[in-house]
Amino acid sequence: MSAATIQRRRHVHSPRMRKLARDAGVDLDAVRGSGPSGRVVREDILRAASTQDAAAGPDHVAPPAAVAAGAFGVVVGEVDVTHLRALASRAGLIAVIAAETMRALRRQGAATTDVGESLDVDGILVEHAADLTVPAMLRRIAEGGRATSSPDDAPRVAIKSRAGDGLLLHLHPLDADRLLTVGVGAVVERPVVACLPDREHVIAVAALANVSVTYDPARISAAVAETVLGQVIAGVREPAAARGLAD
Amino acid sequence: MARDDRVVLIGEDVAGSGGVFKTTVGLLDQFGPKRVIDTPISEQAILGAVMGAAMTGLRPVAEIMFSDFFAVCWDLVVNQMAKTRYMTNGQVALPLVVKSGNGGGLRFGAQHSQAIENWAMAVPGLKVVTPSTPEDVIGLMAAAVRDDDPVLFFEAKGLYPTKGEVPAGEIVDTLGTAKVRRAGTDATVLALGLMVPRAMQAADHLAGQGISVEVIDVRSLVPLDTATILGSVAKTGRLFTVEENPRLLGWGAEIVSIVAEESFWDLDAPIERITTPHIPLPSADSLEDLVLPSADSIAQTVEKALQA
Repeated sequence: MSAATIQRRRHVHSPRMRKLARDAGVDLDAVRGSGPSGRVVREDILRAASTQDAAAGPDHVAPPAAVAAGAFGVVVGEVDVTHLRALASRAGLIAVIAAETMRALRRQGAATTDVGESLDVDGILVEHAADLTVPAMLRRIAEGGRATSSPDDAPRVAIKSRAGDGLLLHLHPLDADRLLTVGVGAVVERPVVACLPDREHVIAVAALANVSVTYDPARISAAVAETVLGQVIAGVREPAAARGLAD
Repeated sequence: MARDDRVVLIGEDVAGSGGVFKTTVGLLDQFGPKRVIDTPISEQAILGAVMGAAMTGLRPVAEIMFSDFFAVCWDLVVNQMAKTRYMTNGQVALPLVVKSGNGGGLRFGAQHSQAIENWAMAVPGLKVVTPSTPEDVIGLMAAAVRDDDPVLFFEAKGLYPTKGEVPAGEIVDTLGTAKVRRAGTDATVLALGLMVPRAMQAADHLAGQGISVEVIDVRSLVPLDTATILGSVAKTGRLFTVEENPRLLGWGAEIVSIVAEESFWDLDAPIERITTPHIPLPSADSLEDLVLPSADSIAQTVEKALQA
């Protein structure tokens, strides 16, 4: 390598930045560096990553893949409910997840037009689910009552939360005509790694639950299912998710 | 020595004079001439004697006055002490400690100022420690005496006048552990012995420039606390070593190699070693001060790197 080449390449990206960009799905060549001498720094990559996500948008959906009849897709994630523990019972947690699910589905727009207005929560019909606040959702679930009505207007979306001791997750095949089912596992306390503001890592205890989204791949794409799951997980983490539950 | 009758001390001038650097004052009075013994000027005899003592049931401590003189008895260290457990298939252990005055800063010149802990690190079968505070001298010596393997205990001569807080009661440290002397987020600086206080001074100065440096006192070269070092590099992304050894193959060279292998993807910039040049050390004070890494040279190097 000539001295001129070395000089030109003086500010190549460091291994740490390359790894960060790779993990974030960012093309480093397209990133403008704001560090000393124009180096790409962490903030540049994170900014580029969030710009890419925003550019993608809710209408950017891959078409559903062709699948065999009866097949279903599943994505599984983990939701952190540590901050809800003090406030909510399991029913409260389910109400939060139900509300976040309807919000996430509504945000998918064109991809989920036939989601409908109602929700099946462990066999209980909740109408106009997308418009309910979390406390209202909780009250409706607590009322119990009317099981799902005729198959013609059966909810397209269900929440299933029955989880016995030691059962982390139960993957539910889709009931007939169901578009999507969200399964919620048992809440388990586990040690996790937390990052303090000064970037020091410590061990903390978190309450976690597995969450699955089972979907009909003929009508909903994997990308949409993943996005819904991601938004449910993110929404549950919000402190505002518990709003109203403390009353 | 109070706890265990089997611990004895031999070396040149360690008994009657309390050590040329006054590290063993009072021991002759307290424990008597059978346990604190002045030897002739023969490093080979000193180490041969402690080897024999260790092989026959004692837990001896030998002193080699200046670590430069290890060159005279290196055969006993490398070919005998370091190999005995292995070559006897574990039948013979050598629970001995060899302490020595190591490093420069006192104008003793080329043959009396070398820091040779890197030589020891290169020999399989030895444990190597260098304390940098009074508390660590006590704690690491206690750990070394209790260890069943040969431990080379390097005392930084330049730090002999140091005073520090020492907690009351028994202090027993653990070999193979480094200590984070100052937490930071922008760069990791590894230092050993005399270089530790200099790195700390540099860190203070850099803090004034808005640069947060984590200073780690490596303390133990063998065993090496890679977990603490790699953890710090993962946090800061930048590594500097401050080594009193001459440039080639100082202790930092090995650590840098380990970091490059195991933490490559954590590095935000090339690793930099701050070392003495590869020359014999001068006697003249102005020259010695110029060649050994100083707080200023450490701070300048780190500051320049972080602004590049």
